Amino acid sequence: MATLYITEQGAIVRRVDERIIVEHEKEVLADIPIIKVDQVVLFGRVGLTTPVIETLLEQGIEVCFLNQWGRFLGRLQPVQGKNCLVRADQFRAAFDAGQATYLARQFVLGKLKNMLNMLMRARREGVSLPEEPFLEINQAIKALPRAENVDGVRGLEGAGSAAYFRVFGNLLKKEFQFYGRVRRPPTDPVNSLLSFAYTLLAKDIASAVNTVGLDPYTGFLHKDRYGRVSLALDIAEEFRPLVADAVVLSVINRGMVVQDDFEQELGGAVKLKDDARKRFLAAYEQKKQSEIRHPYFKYRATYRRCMELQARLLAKYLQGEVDKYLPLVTK
Amino acid sequence: MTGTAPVREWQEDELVPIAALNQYAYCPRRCYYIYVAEEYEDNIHTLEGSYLHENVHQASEHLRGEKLQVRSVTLYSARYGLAGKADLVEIEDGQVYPVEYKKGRRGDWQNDQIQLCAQAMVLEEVTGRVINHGYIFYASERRRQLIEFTPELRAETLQVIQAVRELLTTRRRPPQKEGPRCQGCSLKAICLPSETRKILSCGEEEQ
Ligand code: SF4
Repeated sequence: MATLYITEQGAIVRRVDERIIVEHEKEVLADIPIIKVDQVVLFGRVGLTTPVIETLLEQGIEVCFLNQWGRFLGRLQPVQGKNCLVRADQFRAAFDAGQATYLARQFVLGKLKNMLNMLMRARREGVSLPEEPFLEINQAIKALPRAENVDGVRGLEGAGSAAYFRVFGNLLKKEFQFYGRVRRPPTDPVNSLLSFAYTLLAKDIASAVNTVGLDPYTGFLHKDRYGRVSLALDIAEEFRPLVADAVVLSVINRGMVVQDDFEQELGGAVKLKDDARKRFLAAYEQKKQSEIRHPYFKYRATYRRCMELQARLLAKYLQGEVDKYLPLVTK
Repeated sequence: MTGTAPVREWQEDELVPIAALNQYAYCPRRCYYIYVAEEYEDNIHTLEGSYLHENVHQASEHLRGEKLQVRSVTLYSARYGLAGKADLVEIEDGQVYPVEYKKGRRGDWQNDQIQLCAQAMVLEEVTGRVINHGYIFYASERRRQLIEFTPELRAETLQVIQAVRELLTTRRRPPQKEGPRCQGCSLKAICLPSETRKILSCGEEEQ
């Protein structure tokens, strides 16, 4: 089961028998059995015929719409089971300051620990790094249990991440420059890749969250903002260093993406050219399907499965079946 | 019209699917996932099971010797509030009895027997005859097993009908019971029994 990414502007997606056909000006770009696909992601101007939409929905395959630059626009969601019970518990927890603070803390704890582990690993591999970011991230981790509310947690998250991003550039083995995180819009290649990777990650976690019956739009750490998949962004925190940052580092360090693969737009935003974007999507997909040994359960699982596991474990916490939410932290 | 008059009118959500009895007797939590939370993961077992059923379910009647066989019989009991299907109903020497097809072999749990017994109870209501036995055909053993509808089995079946009705109407999630049944359960990846145990038993700091 895989994600089908369609980036060709003007492409048309149709159904022929039990297959998905992607066409562009009468030329067949892809021809895939429907059973091999579990998600379809469209970038920009891609057309879907009604029969293909019907079939995708019937088969429980969701369709995500991103604009041509990779910004998430929304999704076409197949009917869900009637698991509204778990949503009721989620909403209750979202309005309970104590529970919301606890969960916010756990998401940030996972993120900061994974950031710290990533820097430690780089140092073991010979990257020279100053001592301060380690101290600062550790301090933020230690202070988390004392954060009294979600705002306090967010402050610590900001401090820890800033320390991490101050040295993230040191992990790059190619000529790319990186001086810190710049969002909306990213004005350098590395930030542009990071933003793109975070969008893909949030999309995948939103679908995991949805499979479990949770509402992707109601979060704890991220404030509900209309149209934002806040819960997905919450769970994404722990996966950012593990999946998104790791993919960005590996495509750059292995030379799969080079300076020439980026173009600057008029407004200063930097984006990947089409070809490189395809390579990046493939690298991201590969990372998602790669297996790790699960730190608590000791079996092998893909990151993709880990995302669903975290969503299921969160649902168990919200339904009172377990008494804690443990973020995924890997060494 | 034959059969007994309805004992009561059943609301749609009070009607118990006969197949749900089997799931419940196997594990109440599994029944909850499938019939309440509508989480259903097909695995090899359930898929093969449904192919097997497709063959059996081509509603048809044909005579084999003196035996009349009716396949895929829709069952409804006004008395017990049950609805479902029997894979096969046979009529032989004036006796009526259900036959249920199962992939695999007989398990240690009473679940298949309970499902069959419920089918028989509905058939009794519909035909007005007493049914003392039926059969379960286990595909991997390639033979029929005789099941007798003893008073104990009937009592247990009634209990399970009650329990399933309560589950469907209250929608209360039964506790997870990690045990040997989880081994063959296709919903393990959703229910996560061993993972839950590990989380409950570890301290926050250990992570
Ligand atoms: S995994 Fe075990 S406890 Fe969970 S539904 Fe299956 S049999 Fe029941």
